Amino acid sequence: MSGPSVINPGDGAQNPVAAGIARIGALIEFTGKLIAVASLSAMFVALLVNVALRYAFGSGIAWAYEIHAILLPWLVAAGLIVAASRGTNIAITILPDLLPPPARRLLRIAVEAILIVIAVSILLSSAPILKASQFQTLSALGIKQIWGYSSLIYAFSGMAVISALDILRLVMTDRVEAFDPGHGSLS
Amino acid sequence: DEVIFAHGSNPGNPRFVAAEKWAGLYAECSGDTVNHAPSATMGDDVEMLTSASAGIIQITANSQGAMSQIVPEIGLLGLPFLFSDLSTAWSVLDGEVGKMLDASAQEKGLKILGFWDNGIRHVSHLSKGVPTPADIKGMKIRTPPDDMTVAIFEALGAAPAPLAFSELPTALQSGVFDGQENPLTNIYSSKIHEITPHITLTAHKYESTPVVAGMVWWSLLSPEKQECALQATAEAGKLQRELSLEQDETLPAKMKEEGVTFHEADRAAYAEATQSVYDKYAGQFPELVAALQEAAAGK
Amino acid sequence: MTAPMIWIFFLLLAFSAPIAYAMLGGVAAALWLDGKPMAVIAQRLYTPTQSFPMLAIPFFILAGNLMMSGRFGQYLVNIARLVVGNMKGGLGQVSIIGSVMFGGVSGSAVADASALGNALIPVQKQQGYPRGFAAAINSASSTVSVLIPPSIPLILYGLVSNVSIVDLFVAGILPGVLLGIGMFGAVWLVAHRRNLPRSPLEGGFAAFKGQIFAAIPALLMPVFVIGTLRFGVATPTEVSVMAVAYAFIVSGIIYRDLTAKGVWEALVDTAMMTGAVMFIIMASSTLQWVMTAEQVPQHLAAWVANSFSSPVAVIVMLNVVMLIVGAFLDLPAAVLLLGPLFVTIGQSIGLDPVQLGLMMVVNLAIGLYTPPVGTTLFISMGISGAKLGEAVRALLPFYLVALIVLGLISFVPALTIY
Ligand code: NA
Ligand code: NA
Repeated sequence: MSGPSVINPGDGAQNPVAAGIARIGALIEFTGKLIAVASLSAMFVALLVNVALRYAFGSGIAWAYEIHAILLPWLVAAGLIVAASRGTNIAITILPDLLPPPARRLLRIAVEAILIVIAVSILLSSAPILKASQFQTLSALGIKQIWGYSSLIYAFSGMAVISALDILRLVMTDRVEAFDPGHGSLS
Repeated sequence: DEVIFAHGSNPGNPRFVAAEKWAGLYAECSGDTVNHAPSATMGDDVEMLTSASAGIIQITANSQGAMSQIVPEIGLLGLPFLFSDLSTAWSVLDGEVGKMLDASAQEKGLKILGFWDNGIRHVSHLSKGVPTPADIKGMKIRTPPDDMTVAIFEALGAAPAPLAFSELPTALQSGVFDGQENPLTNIYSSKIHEITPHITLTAHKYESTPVVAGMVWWSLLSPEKQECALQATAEAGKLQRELSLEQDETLPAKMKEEGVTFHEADRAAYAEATQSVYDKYAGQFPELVAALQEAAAGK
Repeated sequence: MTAPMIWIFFLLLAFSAPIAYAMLGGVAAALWLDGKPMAVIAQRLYTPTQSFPMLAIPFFILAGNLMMSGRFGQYLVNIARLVVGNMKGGLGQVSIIGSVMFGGVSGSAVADASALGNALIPVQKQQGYPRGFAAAINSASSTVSVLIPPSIPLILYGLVSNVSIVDLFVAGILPGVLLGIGMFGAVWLVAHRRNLPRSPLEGGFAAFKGQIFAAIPALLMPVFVIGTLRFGVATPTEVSVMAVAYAFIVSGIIYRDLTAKGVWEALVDTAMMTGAVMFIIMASSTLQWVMTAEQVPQHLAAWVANSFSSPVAVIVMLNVVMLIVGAFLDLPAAVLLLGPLFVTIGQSIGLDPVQLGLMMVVNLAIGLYTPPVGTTLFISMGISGAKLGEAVRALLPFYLVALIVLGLISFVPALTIY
């Protein structure tokens, strides 16, 4: 699953702007990895302990059935950020494969721009939901739902920034990497 | 204008029938079109509440458990062994207590239009009846993710754990739980009585179906249309309560035919064993708990 | 609202926007054009993440990742070679047997295609297999993984259509084995016609005894998964967690190839795969909001009931639609798009939802090695260097096998409903 980095740290050798882009990209990817590992391990431990307790003592931990309500959205958001940083998204690439490299580059820029528009409109329109979720408390954990919903903000603002960095990189260089079909698919 | 009225029940359920009626009444009175969205097509109860306060849908016939995650006061209606019968519960909800709950809900962005019914809950078990509190000690019982229900079964010394309803049949079959608790209508419609054929008529907890509108939409609605909505809710509610009552009376015979054994419960002993739950919630909501007890006692 | 949504979805798709984004773009435009509140999107995106049974997906992925990252993968190939390597075209048969065994630890065909493809295709080419044929064997056989439990597409189908995941898992075994046998036959025929070499394992049984015993715990994983589910010891989500614990124990204690770095990478990879598949689930949940708001499933079911005279005609029609959709869309996305619609249609002709689920996964799995968009096909072509035409020509016997199995499952309920 590990693909070529879209933001290649090696680009830094060429000029300071490229180095900056690479550094921001790497930082975003790192937050994604950290959140992914933390949320997945926490859920694994909680659920395993719950199963073990249930078999040993007949009753588990009540909040084990609820912890995913906060952590699964964060696992997904983090996974999306890492995948977007590595340029792995499930897409149909018939058109770009048919195009000559310069046109393909323009298409990539246009698509990334559309992704930014979609991500930003989702971010802007999510305000009423975030507001409503401030009043919602998970019964066993006692945590407000907004802690889960805010993962959407992280995911979409992160992906928008990654797309913006991609555009910058595409504008600055004239290199377009080939699409890799295996990436991000889960068939 | 289009009004989306959403709920989680399927055709045939009293809630579905009442929602149909609501749609007809309100459309005629207000001139708006009503989009009746049943079967959780607009999301589950919690999501529908979020949607209502965010203005995605306008009204939802919801559940007491989901609603108490936002307005904890609503959960008090489920205090153990509070109402002796359904008609007492209804007169309490239609009176002063209902207004107090509506006031709390409005602070959280939701307007309560009225209370429909969701029946009284009973305990079903894989292998035995639980006529006295001693029988329920240590029982691994699935509950909805609802504070009050968990508190009741903890007070009884059982081992309650919340679980998604969709996982319940597998969990019961696999012995993760000894039993569960639900109104007869739910037990029957989800065929849980086939897995847990011993039903004890504990009637431990009453549940309403609050009919809720988003506050933003509601406050922008003209007073005439507001009146239409309240009227429609009350009238459809009358029908819904009748249908609920009817099902409660006819279901036991049907279920017996399908192999269910019913057990009576010593409700006085149960009420005494769960007294601590009242103390717990009276600490948090002293006025409302007192008002509820008084009203339920018919004073 | 539905019509502009679908147009924009296909337009974005054609311009190579990621599938989930194409869905979101279509939904956003549709809501905006219709004056509906856009907050629907955030709400519906979030909904699937609130489902407890959904947790089975990351944990089954993680179990497979942990298992395959270590020595087990090599053992698996060796065992398959020991059993069938001595036949003509033995390495082709190894790919089939390997996929059946691999299917028991992994829920994903793509993981299978890249793991087994990288291990086998280079060796097959050395031994004179045409590169198109090597790609064809790998891309087709790897789809057996999504029928042998655990299976991520079957979990998804179970969740969107409210069917027991346990029943689906159990029902998947026989079609998976049938497909394996059919492909075995296809390789056998081609191997004899082209006189492909035998590839027995050097040293034979004696040399690899130790590895066989070492591989047994990992090979027992499907037995463990199905056993615990079938005999009702735990729920699917709990079993997925125990499968991860099992994988940790097997690779940590028995294979001793567990490293902190390896675990970290397995966790990050799992998050990425979970993110990728959940993003599509979440986006299609927004799409479904629009469709249910306009009662599309009901209208479609009514249209099908009026237009097709017999259940047989409906089943054929469903299969044709799935073959077309599967040619273009990735398997999970297609399951999520078609599942809710087809279950409604299936109900109207009395088709069992478990049988429909298997029909759907067997059918859409064909799409994984069918152009224009085929994930296992592209992966295998990438490894073997085959051209599309070469691979597709070599795939013809495999399409035939898969279509026969699909026909059997569609019209013989006894194969999937017990
Ligand atoms: Na599998
Ligand atoms: Na395809």
